Formats: sequence, C-alpha cells, structure tokens
Amino acid sequence: MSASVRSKTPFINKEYLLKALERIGVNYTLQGDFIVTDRIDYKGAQKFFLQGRNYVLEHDSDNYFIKNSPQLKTAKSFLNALEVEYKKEQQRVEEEIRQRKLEMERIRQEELERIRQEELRKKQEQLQDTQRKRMEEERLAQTSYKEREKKLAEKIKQLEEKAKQEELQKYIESQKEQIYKKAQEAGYKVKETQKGEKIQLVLVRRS
Amino acid sequence: MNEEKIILEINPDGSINAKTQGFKGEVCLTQLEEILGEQLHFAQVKKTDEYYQQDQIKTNETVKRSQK
Repeated sequence: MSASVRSKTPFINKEYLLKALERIGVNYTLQGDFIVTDRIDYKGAQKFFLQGRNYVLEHDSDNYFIKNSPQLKTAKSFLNALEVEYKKEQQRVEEEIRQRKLEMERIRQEELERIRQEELRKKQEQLQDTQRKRMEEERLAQTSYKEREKKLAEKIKQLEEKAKQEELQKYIESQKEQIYKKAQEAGYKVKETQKGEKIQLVLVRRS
Repeated sequence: MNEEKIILEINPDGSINAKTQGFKGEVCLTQLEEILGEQLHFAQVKKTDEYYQQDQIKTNETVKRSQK
C-alpha cells in the first residue's frame, strides 16, 4: 500500500528543505525536480517531488522496512522533525533578513542624518555668509556715513574759515580806510602796493 | 627839506608792521599813534640807535600791531 502525506508546513523553499534534511541526518541526492533521500521503505527510496509550489514526500505507508534514520521510523515523525528544522531554518533566514534590513535601515538613517547634517552645515554657512555680507554692507554704510560726516565737517570748517576770512578782510579794509583818512589829515601822501599777501602803505610827508 | 616816511605793512591776519624814517625822537611813536588811532597797542617796539639821537634827522621805528 502506498500513500502521499502532505506536511503541515508547506515545504516551499528548496534550500530550507535541504538544510532541514541535513540537520536531522538524512542524506539526499538531487535528481531533476526530485530530492531523493536515503530513507528506504517498501517502495524504495523516499523522495520529495514538486507538487505545484510545494515539495511533497512520496513514501510507503508501511514503516516496517524503513532503513536509515531509525530514530525517525515513521513518515510522520520524519516529517515532524523535518518541519521543526525547516521552520528553524526559515526563522534563521528571516532573522538574518530582518537583521540585514535593520542594518540597512541603520545605514539609511545614518546616511539621512549625514545628509541632514550636511544640509544644516550648508544652511549655516549660507546664513553666516549672509550675516557676513550684511555686516560688510553695514560696515560700508557706516564708513560711507562717516565719510559724509567728515566731508560735511570739512565743508562747515571751510565755510567758517571763509566767513572768518571775509570778516578779517573787512576789518583790514576798514583799517586801511582809517589809515588813509588819518594820513591825509596829517599831510601824508599814501602809496599802496601789494607785497605777496601783505599790503604795504608808504606814507610820505615833507616838512 | 626833511622827508618823513612811515611804512606800514598790513599782514593777512590783520596785524600791522610799521617802520618810520626821518623823525626826531619820540615823534615817530606819536605819529604812529595819530595814524593808527588810539586803539593802537604795541606788541613789539624795536628802537633803533637813531631813536636815541634826538637831534638826528632819522629815527627808525618798528612796531607790530596785534589784531583786535
């Protein structure tokens, strides 16, 4: 009598299945789509074949003649043990994938943080640059203001100097007129000449 | 005939330098006072040797008038 038994967990992944067989000490050979084990029953070698997407064990229902893996004499105990190891491998790989994902996420986060820091640094540099430019503009404006202030002060000084000169000139003219008048009253003849910045008056009288 | 001469130089700052020639004794100073007015203040007077020679014809005075 022969039968096909479907395991509880579908053996979809061939790699997990082969690893599980190795862990429970069952040798196998790959023959096309078949995974042929060294478990021998009445029909011969028990083997897995692909049914749809699942690997299914083909074996005889009589366990009496089973050879090899004596601790897993029945197909049920064999498949139970195989399922445990299959799940362990599946979990191991899933855990590995999870760890890899975590690692990738960590790397991604680090990269994001690095980019964020870089952008922050650039913004700070731009801000500093803007501040520097603003300070420079303020400095130039201040300099310009000081220069204007200085020019204005110079202008005021020039005007004051001019006013002073004009006042002085008026004073000199009035003095000159007074001298002319007094000299003529005293009988002097007056001769005026310009000597550089000085005015020379020569008063002459004969007695 | 005696020639009396007063040479006045008006400086840019308004001060006046004065020299006299041909005056006898202190007459030169009184003449300067007459010409330059009562407000005249002598800042510096250098009397030449001739000033002390009362009978000499020439007296040379140098005065400097300070600006008001």
